[in-house]
Amino acid sequence: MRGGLTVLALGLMFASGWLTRNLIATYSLKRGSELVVQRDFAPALADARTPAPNPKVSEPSMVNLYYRVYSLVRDEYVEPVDAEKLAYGSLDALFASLNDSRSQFLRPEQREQFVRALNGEIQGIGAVLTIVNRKTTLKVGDETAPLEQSLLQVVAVAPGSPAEKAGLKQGDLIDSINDKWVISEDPFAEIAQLQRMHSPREQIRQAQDRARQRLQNSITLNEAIQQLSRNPKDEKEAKPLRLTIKRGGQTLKLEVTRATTKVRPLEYRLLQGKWGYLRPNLLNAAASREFASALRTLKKGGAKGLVIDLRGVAIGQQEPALQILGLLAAKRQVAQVEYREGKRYKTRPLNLPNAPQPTNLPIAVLVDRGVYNVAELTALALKQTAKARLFGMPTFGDASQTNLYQFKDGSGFTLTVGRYLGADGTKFHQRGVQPDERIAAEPRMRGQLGGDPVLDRAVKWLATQEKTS
Amino acid sequence: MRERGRAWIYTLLLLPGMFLGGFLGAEAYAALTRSSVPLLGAPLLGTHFTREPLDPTDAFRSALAEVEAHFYGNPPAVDKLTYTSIEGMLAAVGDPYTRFMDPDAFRRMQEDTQGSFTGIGALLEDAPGGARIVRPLPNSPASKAGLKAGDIIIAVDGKSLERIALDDAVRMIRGPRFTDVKLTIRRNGVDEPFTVTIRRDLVESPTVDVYLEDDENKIYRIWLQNFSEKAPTLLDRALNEIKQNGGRALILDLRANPGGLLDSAIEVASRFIPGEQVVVSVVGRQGLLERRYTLKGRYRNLDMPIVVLMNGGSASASEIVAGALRDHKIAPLIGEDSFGKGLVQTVIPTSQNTAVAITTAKYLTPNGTDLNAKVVDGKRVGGLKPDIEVKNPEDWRMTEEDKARDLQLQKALEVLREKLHATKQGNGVLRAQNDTEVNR
Repeated sequence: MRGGLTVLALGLMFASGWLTRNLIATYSLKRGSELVVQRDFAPALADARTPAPNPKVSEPSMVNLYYRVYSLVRDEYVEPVDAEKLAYGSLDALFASLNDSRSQFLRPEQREQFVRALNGEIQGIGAVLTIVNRKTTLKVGDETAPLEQSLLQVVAVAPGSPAEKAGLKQGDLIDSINDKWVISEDPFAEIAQLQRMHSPREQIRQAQDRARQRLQNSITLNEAIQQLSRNPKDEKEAKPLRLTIKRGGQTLKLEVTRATTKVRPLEYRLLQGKWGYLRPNLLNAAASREFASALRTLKKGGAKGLVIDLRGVAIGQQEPALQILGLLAAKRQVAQVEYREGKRYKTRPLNLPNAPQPTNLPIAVLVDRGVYNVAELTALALKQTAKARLFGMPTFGDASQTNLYQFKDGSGFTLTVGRYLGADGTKFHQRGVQPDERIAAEPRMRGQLGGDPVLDRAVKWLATQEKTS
Repeated sequence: MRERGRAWIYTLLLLPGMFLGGFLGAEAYAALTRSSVPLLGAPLLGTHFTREPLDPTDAFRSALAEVEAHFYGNPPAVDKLTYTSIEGMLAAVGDPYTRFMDPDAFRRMQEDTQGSFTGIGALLEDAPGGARIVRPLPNSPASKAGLKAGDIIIAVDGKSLERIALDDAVRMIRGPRFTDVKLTIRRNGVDEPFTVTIRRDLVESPTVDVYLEDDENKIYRIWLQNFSEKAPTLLDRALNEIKQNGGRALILDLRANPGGLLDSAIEVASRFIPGEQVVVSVVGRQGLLERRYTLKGRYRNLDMPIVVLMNGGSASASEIVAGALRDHKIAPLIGEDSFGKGLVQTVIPTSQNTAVAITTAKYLTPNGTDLNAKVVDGKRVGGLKPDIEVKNPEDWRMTEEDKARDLQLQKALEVLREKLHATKQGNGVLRAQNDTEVNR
């Protein structure tokens, strides 16, 4: 009897030890998956993650099939094959099939560019680019057919970059590079429609010729992004790129050079002796460190309110953004993340790593369409958890939570793993974060009172807060 | 009493030890199971970039697992993701014939090479409002149901073909054996469209057609449409027919023949080439793999002049036969450059009803001409050159009624008539022209 109890107690203890370890492991795995960096063809230090093979979901039979095909090609193809080339081709196809512009395979040099940009060293023209999908219609004769477009868009232009000097603006659509059409739609869509309509053969042939000519002088979206986000390799490439841009209803031609743009993490100063103006140019680890010390300096200098200028901030990472929010927000939960578990979607809170140390100063945040992704999340979190007031225009509207991964050869991939929501569940994907005061005017002199209408309004509002508080 | 108390103390002392044991046991178990999967290096800190070669399977396994577990959107099913990845891998090889066949594609390929599929047995072409029957195949369900050339199928099982492409229409008509399909037909001279129900059955896909092109000189044309398993038997039947009808010259038409089985090509060549001769050499990664010779007892000794017609649609097995007939001076080649697919694909079935076609070797004609075309500056260069080059009008099609527009056929008839005339005067057999020129 007693012996049985002893054995039972020992057994229970052993089992509880086993369980505890596995619980800890599960918990730390979940936490680990919240580490995020973002995918911006141009963007800080990567919270690089190693893809964790999970035998439960990777369908061993499929991996075996893949391995079998690979080894057959490796051993039997009429000429020797390059394993790396095969791996890259395969991963390109895998990620392309996800149909998500922020989930992409990155070759070593692309991954390097990506990480350098996150660290504030942007190569190429110095703009953050994204692919926007649009549904439109194709008119063929008297009939219309649905047509899907994938357009190359400028999210924001880095300060001091060649793109800024050339006059490229946020929201511009890049239609061609060096007179080569950036393929934004299927040029054969018209032919498929003509065939469905049983059109005369001659008409189909003409359409085919047109489509072929268009394709002959074209580059793919990925090639275009590559060209724009790397520096010239040699003298021959040093010539400026000729871009055709669509802006509003206009078509413009611009010439842009390519060189490394070093972005200063943060600029700040005291306006009129009492308004602390903080302008991070990206949200990376360096920016969050500088933000903390700048905030101390401004407070010591007698700041009665803060202006946080997020306009054009398109490069950022989740962790540094949370660090900055930790200095301003009143609540630990600053946002939510929606994620997929099997076939179901769930949300979980996005919390600050440490207890918040809120400032009691009124905060004005300046926003525009160039505020992208993590920066949008920051603006919304400031509004919802730090009583900040937003001035300017709606933000871009990309709420993707994206991880960056690396393989041992230096290549890697980005993967959208979640979608950010406001602390109260507000969605901003494809809608953007809405300002409290909508002001469309562009600054003549950004960050200068009298030359920056959005800043002027923000400071006016801060002054009223001073009286009431 | 005292003893019992001591025992409890021992037990209590043991409890934390067991907890620790369980904890460490689980840790060790996890470590063991983990070590069997590749870990992809340490997290990146700073801008230090390592370069170690990447194994495709390791990379795929990790990426697939991550996408399945964490991708926000609904990922395509795991089999589709795998097929897509394999297709991407094989595309990187840079050879259009090295390709992956998913279960659908593999089944279609098997149907095509076995020369039979289940459908109604009619050749179709695009027509306003539906699909026009070019001709129903003999003994097919379509001809038994009374369908005629020129009938237009305007609906399948009540679904209009108005907005449906031909390929999709064919897919709708095909189906499992012994199932019924309801076709709505519009026929010239019949006011109202009518409906016919046809039971699908195995249909022998067309392989060999015989045409009497010149009644006066008894010149026959055999159009060999592919090199399916049945092609040699059907060719024999056609040759018998020609012999019985007193044929005096033969046009072997290999135009628009995309090829098929190598064994069928050897069989076909053996009908025309006497003795034991090389039909084709196969060269692989390690050099000459094998030579394929004509088969014993297959030679037909036709004793008539022969010419071969080929065009850009003649590929693979067609090119092997054409090359062998020319190199052994059996027949000159008339028409245009052939397609240039002198590569050997081995189709290897893999799991889940899939297969992979891999280019494992290339073909050389008996005289050593590489049959494969290379892509140079976006243009195909190579293939087999005709001895007599004749181009047909661009919009000419194989099934056209107007024979005058088929300039290649006219040239073949001209060559053969001349030959027949010369033979009458005792000038011997027809020879292929200038070998050195065509072997460039």
